[in-house]
Amino acid sequence: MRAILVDDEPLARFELRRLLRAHPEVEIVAEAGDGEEALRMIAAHRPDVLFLDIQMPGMTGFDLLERIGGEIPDVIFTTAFDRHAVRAFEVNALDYLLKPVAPGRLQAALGRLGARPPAERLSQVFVRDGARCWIVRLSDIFLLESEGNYTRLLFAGERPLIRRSLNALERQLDPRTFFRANRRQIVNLHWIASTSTGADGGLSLQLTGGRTVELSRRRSDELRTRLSL
Amino acid sequence: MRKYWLYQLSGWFGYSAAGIFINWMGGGALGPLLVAHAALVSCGIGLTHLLRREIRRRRTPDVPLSRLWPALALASVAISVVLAGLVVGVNRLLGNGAWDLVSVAALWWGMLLAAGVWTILYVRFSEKRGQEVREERLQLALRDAQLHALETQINPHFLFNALNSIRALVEIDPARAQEMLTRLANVLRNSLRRGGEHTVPLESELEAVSDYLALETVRFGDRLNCSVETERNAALCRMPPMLLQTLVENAVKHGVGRASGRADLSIRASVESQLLRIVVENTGNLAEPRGAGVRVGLKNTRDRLALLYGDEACLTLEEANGRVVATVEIPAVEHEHESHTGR
Repeated sequence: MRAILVDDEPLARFELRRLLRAHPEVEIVAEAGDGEEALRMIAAHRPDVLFLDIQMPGMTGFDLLERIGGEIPDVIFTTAFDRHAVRAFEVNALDYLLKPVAPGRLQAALGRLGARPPAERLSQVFVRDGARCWIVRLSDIFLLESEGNYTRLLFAGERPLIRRSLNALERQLDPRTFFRANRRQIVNLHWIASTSTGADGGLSLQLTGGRTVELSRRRSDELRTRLSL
Repeated sequence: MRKYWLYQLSGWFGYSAAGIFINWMGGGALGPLLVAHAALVSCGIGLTHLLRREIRRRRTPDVPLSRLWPALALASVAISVVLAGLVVGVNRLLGNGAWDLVSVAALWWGMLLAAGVWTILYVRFSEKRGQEVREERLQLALRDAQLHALETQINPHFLFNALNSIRALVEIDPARAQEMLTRLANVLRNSLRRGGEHTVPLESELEAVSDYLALETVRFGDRLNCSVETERNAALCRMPPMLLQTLVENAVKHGVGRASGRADLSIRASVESQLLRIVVENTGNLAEPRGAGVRVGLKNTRDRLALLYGDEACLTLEEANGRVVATVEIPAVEHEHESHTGR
């Protein structure tokens, strides 16, 4: 497991390194003392896991994840006293360690991480809406809806609004999974439960969970071609 | 007290003026009436004043007024008898008319009414006053509790990060780790506050802050550069505990909070025209979004100053040339006034 440590305090990084000596399966590929440096390290090393301090000068741990923009590695937050901040995670909170870190807690966190199937580790994004945040697997997002320059993500009963346009998101999403249904919506093809054809020949998609998405004729033809491939 | 005399005098004079007017309209001679009423008013004031002294003496927090009512009724009757007797006596002495039983009874009835009304009013007013006093004490107690709550706040983020740094130092530099533990103990002791003092000498606050800054320097390394300048007479002044600590914590957070480079922090204290002025200055700017924690810290500090000094103290926060300056001004009270050392 390749890890990057992000903490603005040199001694805190030293402590974590010392504690990780007991876990040879974790290879520390880089360390960063602030957010900017961390962004560069993450881009260069593409680690499996980030040990991320939340309170850092200039850019908090959450800001950092938001700046990554696309897919993020697994994250273990380290914090001195931010349980409330970590509680902001409603869904898929990975894990957090309170400093000074108890060796047993570190072991448990690493155990949970190792137990996750590799497929789950891929394709997760960080989502923040106001004070609430989520780390969400792309495969759990069944619909993206445009609201002006913002986009609403729908997954697991949650519907946060994020500050990016649907068009910008479309460019980042895997076109094999995410399909532009109309001007306002992008749908996750894996969530289609059934389809029906309307009077004008346009497709109507019923998603698992009950949502219905209407397609224009042109988009319907494109989807039919795609699905028949 | 002043109110009591106002009511006491205006009540009796009013009562007597009405009496004089009614009797005069009824054909009484003005001269004897005035003499009789002068005696009545002075005697009435004297007797009811005695009664008041007696009520105040007997009534304690654990004797409810209801237990005093029989005695009060009896006293009112006695006062009315004395006053009626006095009026009849004075009139007789001045040879003013014959007094049959009916007019004596009417007079006594008037006096009884006066004494009774006096007693009831007195009890009502004093009860209300008692309630106000209790309310005031309650407010004071509440303020006390609020102050204590505000004073003992320590930043948990600092505490646990400091502990984490020390744990790292145990391996890297055990002697430094020991020193830092001692300093952390000092900071904690200072925040846990000695017995209920609302102000402490600036000197001792500076000691605590220097321990705090030493710990932060360990955490941030050479990114933090501190200086302290204090006038001798300022160091002896008293100030609210933990206030300097709060300002310095904010300064560290926002000074070192700049992503890169060194941060300067300076603490200056002086006395100018009876005001103790403490200035905490750091590199940084106010435009940076400040966390809820900082706002709470500043609000708490302002609240404490208002509770302790009313309008006489102030806290300002301003930015100039890439530096943030927090200034506190409080009335300068020197430590010697309250210590045992003398001159």
